Amino acid sequence: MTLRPATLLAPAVALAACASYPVPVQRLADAEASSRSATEVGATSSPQAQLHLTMAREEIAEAKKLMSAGDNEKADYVLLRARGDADLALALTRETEAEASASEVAVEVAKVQARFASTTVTTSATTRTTVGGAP
Amino acid sequence: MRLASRMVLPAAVALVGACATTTPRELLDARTAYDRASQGPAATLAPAELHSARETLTVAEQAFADHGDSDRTKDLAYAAERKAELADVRAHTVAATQARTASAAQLQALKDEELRATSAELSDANQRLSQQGGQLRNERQRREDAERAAALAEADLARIASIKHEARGMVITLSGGVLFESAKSELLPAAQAKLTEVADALTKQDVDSRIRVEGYTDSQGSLSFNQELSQRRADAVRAYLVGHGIAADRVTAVGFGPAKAIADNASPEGRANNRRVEIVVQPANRPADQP
Repeated sequence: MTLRPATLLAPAVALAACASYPVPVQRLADAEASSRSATEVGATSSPQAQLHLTMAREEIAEAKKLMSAGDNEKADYVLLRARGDADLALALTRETEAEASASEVAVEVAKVQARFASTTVTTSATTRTTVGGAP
Repeated sequence: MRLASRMVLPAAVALVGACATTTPRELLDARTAYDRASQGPAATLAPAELHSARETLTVAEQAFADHGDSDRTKDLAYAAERKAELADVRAHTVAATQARTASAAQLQALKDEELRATSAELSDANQRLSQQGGQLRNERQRREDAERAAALAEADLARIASIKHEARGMVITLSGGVLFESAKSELLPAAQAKLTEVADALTKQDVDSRIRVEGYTDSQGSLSFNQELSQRRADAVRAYLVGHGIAADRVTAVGFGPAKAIADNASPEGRANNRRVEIVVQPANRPADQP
């Protein structure tokens, strides 16, 4: 059986295309770093952050498979998704922390205001008694 | 002409093909997410993140224009959507941080105000305590001075008259025979000298104390005469004391006649003891007319 030149050429072209797309090493490193950061700041404690962190991990795993199969281009775009999810998980966690902290201080302000108002009322009452004297 | 026809036809087919391609859900979501973020606080609080989302969305739109509903288009749109959401979340984080900073400043101001108020109250309390301490010291000093003066006066009085301390106060007893002639109420010269010493001693006593001059007779003679005589004698002693430095409003005079005898009127010695004038010095806190 004699192979036609076009038949021989097609796989070679496909391999050449795969080989020409660079391995997305940096994109993978960035996505993994962001995912680790989200884990370290406690993304697992917030449901929405946890969801995006899980998605990022799955996408990183999928990208690695694609890279192993030589599909660097597809892996690159999947890692773009992974980075987006990991960054969002991290941001959501920090948002939760910032809002909790702001709420905590606001509660403290309300407490001090109430205590201060109470002290002022007591002082005023004492002053009135002192000035007015016994009936 | 044939060449032109050959070029226009594929372009038209490609254009129709692109128009026919359905916009992927990821791109629609990315557009919506970007619009929402750009109309929210991200525009002012997270402009860099919003700009990054805009750039990625533009790339996704270009990919859609170039490659239609491809995986690349979907992946880029997905990333753009996440970036838009990230911008929105970052803006809320900044807003929360700013709110916390403002609350912390308010909290500090309140605590400072509270501290100032507490310090002022403490200062007032210390000042009041200091004033009260000063008043107490002054009062104690005044009391000690008065007691010392009273002790000196009493020692002086003890040399010229009989002194007794009773429930009604200090009682200075002067014999009627020394002060007056029989049945008269004019003070004898010797009596005046003695009363001058009494007046001097009394001026050293507590100036707030009250002085009651009580005149007494023996039981000889009519009761009305003795009553009147004892009153006149008490008045005479009072007038002398007032004339020698004792404030008039501190001194009262009352005659008891033969009442409240201190000795037996049956003997000459007893009657002599009953004829007397008692000067009662009452502390300031006692009722004036308590016998």
